[in-house]
Amino acid sequence: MAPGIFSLTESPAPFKITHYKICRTLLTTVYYYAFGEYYHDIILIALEGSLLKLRSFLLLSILSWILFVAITLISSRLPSPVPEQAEAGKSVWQRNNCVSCHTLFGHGGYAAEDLTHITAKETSAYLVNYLVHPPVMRPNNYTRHPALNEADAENLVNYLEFVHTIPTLGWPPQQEEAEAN
Amino acid sequence: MKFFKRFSFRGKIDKSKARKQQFIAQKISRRYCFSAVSLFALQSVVASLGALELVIPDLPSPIPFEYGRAIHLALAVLWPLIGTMGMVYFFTTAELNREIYSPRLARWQYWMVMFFGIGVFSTLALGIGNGREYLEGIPVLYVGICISLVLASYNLVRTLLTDKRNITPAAATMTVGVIFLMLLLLPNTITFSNPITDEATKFWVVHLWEEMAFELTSAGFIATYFIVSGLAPRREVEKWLYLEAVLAVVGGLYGTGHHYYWIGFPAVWLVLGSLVSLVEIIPVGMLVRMTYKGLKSTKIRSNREKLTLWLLLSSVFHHITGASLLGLFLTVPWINLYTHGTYITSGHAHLALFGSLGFAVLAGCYYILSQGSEPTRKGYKGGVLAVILLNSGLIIMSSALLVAGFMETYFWRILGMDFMHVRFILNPYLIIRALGGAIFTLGDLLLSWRIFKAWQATRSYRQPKN
Ligand code: HEM
Ligand code: HEM
Ligand SMILES: [Fe+2]
Repeated sequence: MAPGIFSLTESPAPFKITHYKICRTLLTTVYYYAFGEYYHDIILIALEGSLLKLRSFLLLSILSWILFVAITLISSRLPSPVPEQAEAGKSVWQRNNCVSCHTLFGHGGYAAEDLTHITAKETSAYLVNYLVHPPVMRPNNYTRHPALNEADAENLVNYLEFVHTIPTLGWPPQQEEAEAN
Repeated sequence: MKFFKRFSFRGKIDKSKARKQQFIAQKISRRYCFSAVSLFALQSVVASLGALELVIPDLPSPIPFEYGRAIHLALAVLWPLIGTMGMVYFFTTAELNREIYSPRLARWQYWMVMFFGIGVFSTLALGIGNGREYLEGIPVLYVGICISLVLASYNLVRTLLTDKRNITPAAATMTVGVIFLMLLLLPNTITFSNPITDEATKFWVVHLWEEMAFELTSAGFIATYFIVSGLAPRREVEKWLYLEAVLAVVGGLYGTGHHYYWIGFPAVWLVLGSLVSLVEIIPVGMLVRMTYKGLKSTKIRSNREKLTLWLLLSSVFHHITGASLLGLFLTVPWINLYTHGTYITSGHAHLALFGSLGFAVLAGCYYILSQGSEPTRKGYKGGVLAVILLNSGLIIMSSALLVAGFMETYFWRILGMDFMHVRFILNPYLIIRALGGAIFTLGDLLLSWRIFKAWQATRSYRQPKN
């Protein structure tokens, strides 16, 4: 067989019944009945795929990579563009490492509440006030929540409002119930 | 000498004269491994402080929790990377039985990755960061790490091309793994204003480094280790390697879907992510099969090899359980809907990231740093004790997290109780986690000490002659 993507081994190994051979015989039989005269091609791919050559490995890797990047980028289209103020808020979120304690979309630290849909629960005035005059965090006696200045706090809340508009396929679950009630 | 015997090749490229010297690349790989182990020791100390901070109110700390956690995660991503870089050089030369293209580039690469890596930790300690989980350092530092990976890729590709007819599957798999490490980090040096692109590309490191690129490099290491130490015949090992690599690449790439479920991506990822994650399991099975074959075939000769194998077996164990089985469970969309964003994820993260990847890198680092020496009986016992402590610490820590996670899922996600109230209920489990962490830290420090002793004993062992 020409050195194509798949090629057969010609291994004159001494005759020995191994699990491999038993499986091969069984599979051959099944495939013969299922696919008729084409069964041999399928077995070639399934069993002798081990002989996949370097070239095919590289080719498949490159193709999968390109396709994967493309569909990820297509999938990340937003329902509406990010407003400028929300973008500024995103950088406040990042500069202060909020993600160490809170999650967005369920990704982040576990010390505090998920904030993906917080703006549906609390008013923005409350949130801004919370960030500018942070309270002591339970169960601490002195340690307060990190503080932000007024402008940063407003941008941040704007960002959280934007995040709330991104559809998350029904996650988190109890939110759905809360809205249904 | 025994050392030369172990590295005399039986197989396809059997043109070896007994070598009179160690390859320069192998000498350079020692510093990568040494640095990786040191950072690992640092990590468990940082982590223990963080775990305490979560259960002791008002604990004074030089670094606030939000930056401490960031350092912990930066270490979790970077020490396996640095160890892997060293291992790739070591095992590529062993596999091809010749020097790498440019030892000098490998030295530059080392200084780059260390400089920018330490840059990430120290800027975070000062409270300067970019606040993307796992990649909290400022982007320009990741550009440096990317360049270091570009040097590695170039060096490895040139090494392979020096003798085109002798590109062995293990060497090619490792090289492709390193190229992928670079490609996957690259988008993370860019700042996206779109929060969900940000979220997705982050998982190109969090998921695709661990479940694809490192899977390729690890497969290469294990294959080479078995071939070179004569534990399994070359033909047997190479037979399935490319198929395994292709499945790891395709399964890994589209399996990223299991992190795309709820971040604002279309629902098709629920189907794609969960189905392709099944494919991800196949190469794990093949890796385990290869390891098993190698173990069965020969008696293990020395305590050094035994200790390496204890580490490797720990990795295999956690790869099957904490990574693959638990991961598969969490991949089911109906389950993930409830468990997502709870301590269950954290339990899986520790079992998988340290249990399967961390142990594998430690096995390689120990093997490389102890090359040419044999542990004393006391040293071997110390090593085994360390492995036991690491495993029990890890299992206690992660089980506590899993129990906490299931309670969190039930009370918070299913019953809809108030988050902070549920947090208080979980406190006892977080204390158990901190205790498990302490045991883990003991094991970590003990193992690092053993590896340090091995490094010391072999320091002056071989000087390359040219
Ligand atoms: C060596 C192998 C693996 C490593 C190192 C690993 C590591 C991780 C890490 C660090 C996370 C946490 C991500 C975060 O913080 O958001 C995670 C989450 C996850 N892993 Fe793995 N993992 C491995 C294997 C697997 C496998 C084989 C599967 C499934 C087939 C899997 C399924 C998942 C799922 C579904 C999540 C998301 C949990 C959630 O956020 O709800 N993992 N993994
Ligand atoms: C002494 C041992 C360790 C302790 C006490 C420890 C403790 C912690 C703590 C307190 C967190 C933050 C969790 C939160 O936000 O509530 C964390 C997260 C994490 N640690 Fe560790 N850790 C240890 C070892 C390790 C090791 C060895 C690795 C990997 C090499 C690792 C990887 C991670 C990861 C990936 C996360 C993020 C989990 C997630 O977001 O789901 N840890 N750890
Ligand atoms: Fe994953």
